[in-house]
Amino acid sequence: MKRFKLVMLSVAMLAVAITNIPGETYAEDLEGLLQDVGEAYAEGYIAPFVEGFGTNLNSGLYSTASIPVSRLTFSFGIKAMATSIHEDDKTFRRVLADVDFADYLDDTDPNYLMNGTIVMSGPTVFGSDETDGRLTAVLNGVPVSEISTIPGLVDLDYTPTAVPEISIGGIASLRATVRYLPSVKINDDYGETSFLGYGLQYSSDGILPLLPVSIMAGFFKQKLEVGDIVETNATSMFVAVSKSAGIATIYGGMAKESSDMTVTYTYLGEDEVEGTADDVPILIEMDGSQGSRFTLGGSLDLGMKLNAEIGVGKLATYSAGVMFGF
Amino acid sequence: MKFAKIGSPILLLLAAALWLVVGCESESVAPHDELPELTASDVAAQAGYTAATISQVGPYIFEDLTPGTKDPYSYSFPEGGDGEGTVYFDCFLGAVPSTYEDADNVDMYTATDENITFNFELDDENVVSMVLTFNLHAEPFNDDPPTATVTGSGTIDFGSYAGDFEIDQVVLDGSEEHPEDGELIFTIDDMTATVTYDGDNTATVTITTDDGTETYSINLDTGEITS
Repeated sequence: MKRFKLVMLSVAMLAVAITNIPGETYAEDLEGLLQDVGEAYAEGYIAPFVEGFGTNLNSGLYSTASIPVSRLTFSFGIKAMATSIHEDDKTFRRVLADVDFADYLDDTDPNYLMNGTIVMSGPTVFGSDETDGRLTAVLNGVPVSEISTIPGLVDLDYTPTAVPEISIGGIASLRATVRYLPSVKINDDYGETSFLGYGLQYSSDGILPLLPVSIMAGFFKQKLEVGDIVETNATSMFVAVSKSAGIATIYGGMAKESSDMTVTYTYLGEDEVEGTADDVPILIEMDGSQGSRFTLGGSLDLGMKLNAEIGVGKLATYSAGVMFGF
Repeated sequence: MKFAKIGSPILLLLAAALWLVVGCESESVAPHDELPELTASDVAAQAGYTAATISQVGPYIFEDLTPGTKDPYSYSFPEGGDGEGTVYFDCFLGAVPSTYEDADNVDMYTATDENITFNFELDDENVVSMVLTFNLHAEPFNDDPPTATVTGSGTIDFGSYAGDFEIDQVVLDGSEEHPEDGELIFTIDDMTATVTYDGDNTATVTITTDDGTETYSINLDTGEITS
């Protein structure tokens, strides 16, 4: 059952609006874990998710570079993506040298007033959900205090995401694409989940009809908000080339892209009780490190259009889609 | 069938490229920070705690847990005590298994894939935990009076840092609290510290670096390091 929890910020949170699955469970899982750790720990803990989710959103943005000059096309369907998680990213380690232990240890700790090194290590959000992390105070090269922290949320090898998509094209070699989910209220505590993405593509088919391949350029912007907990943005600008033969199309492209995520939660502090003076509001803003990618894929038109691709940049993302329309 | 007629070199090129990239893996993106480089005083402290731990664990060699038998025996630290895990002992007379009373040499070791965690109490509140493995040999060994000269090696893990140690002719006296003589050579990264026991509750830690030799004193009871 744990494996379903990841859906929290990916499949389930996007699917919640469609399926009416209670999405608050997934959000609460992550927030409930993060509430036990401070900002520095959380940054290491969620890093693979921030990277993988943003990279996912920038995937599956096209499946052909060909757009009719003046023949209307319409399609709708689902795109699914999965970014592989490096084995090393099941765990993390952050080292903060020469820091005041009072910022990390309980005031009853005998080393509370000392300065030294804080080592935070353990499973990331995608690491073992049966092993707790730890925060260790190191003084003169030896650990003098250790605090057990949080386990992983769900042990996965890929960050999955799925998004619904609608495209309209065939007007002056342009195609507009929208990814959208209506706003859904999670609950009174978390607010609403919303998702919107849009993009435009232009194909050279109209002005360079004699080229043996189709060439296309475009952009796509997306924004996902999960209540008051998570906001993520993803932007991609890309050029692509494709070649069709019968029902088959092979395509490839390159993109400049960016993504960021803001995570907001309340660190409960030493008393671990919400609503007390120990509560510390945490706001984490992280940028995805993938700035570009190459994409290679293929599609088949079998009445419905199926496509599969791989995007390779700093991260490797597999994507597949099924689209209906004309 | 149209699909079978695909002959475009571009198609073939793209297909070949697709084949090549399938199976690509992501780079690591989670932080894996390096630990701060150890200073000479850090290594002195680690060597000191190692020596202090051996000073406290070593005397278990004088515990005759299976009187009268020649079978190997073991000592498991009681729950809630200073240690966790099991230490194993094999007694020999020459090369032949013997009883504890008859032994003139004893092996003292942690089993393969096992270790012991030793919690060194610095004071009433502070505890340093270390995970050790070792393979020690005591020869000569006497049960009455209890004396042993120990050699061997082991590993020690301080959680974030891990090092190796060798024990060279460390003389244990069951009637005394601390090793009488001998050295423990502790190595971590590229640094080596030598701890010299002298029978009292302090031992000398010597480290040779590019900047010269540094000497520290370790209190084997409290773990306190002074330079």
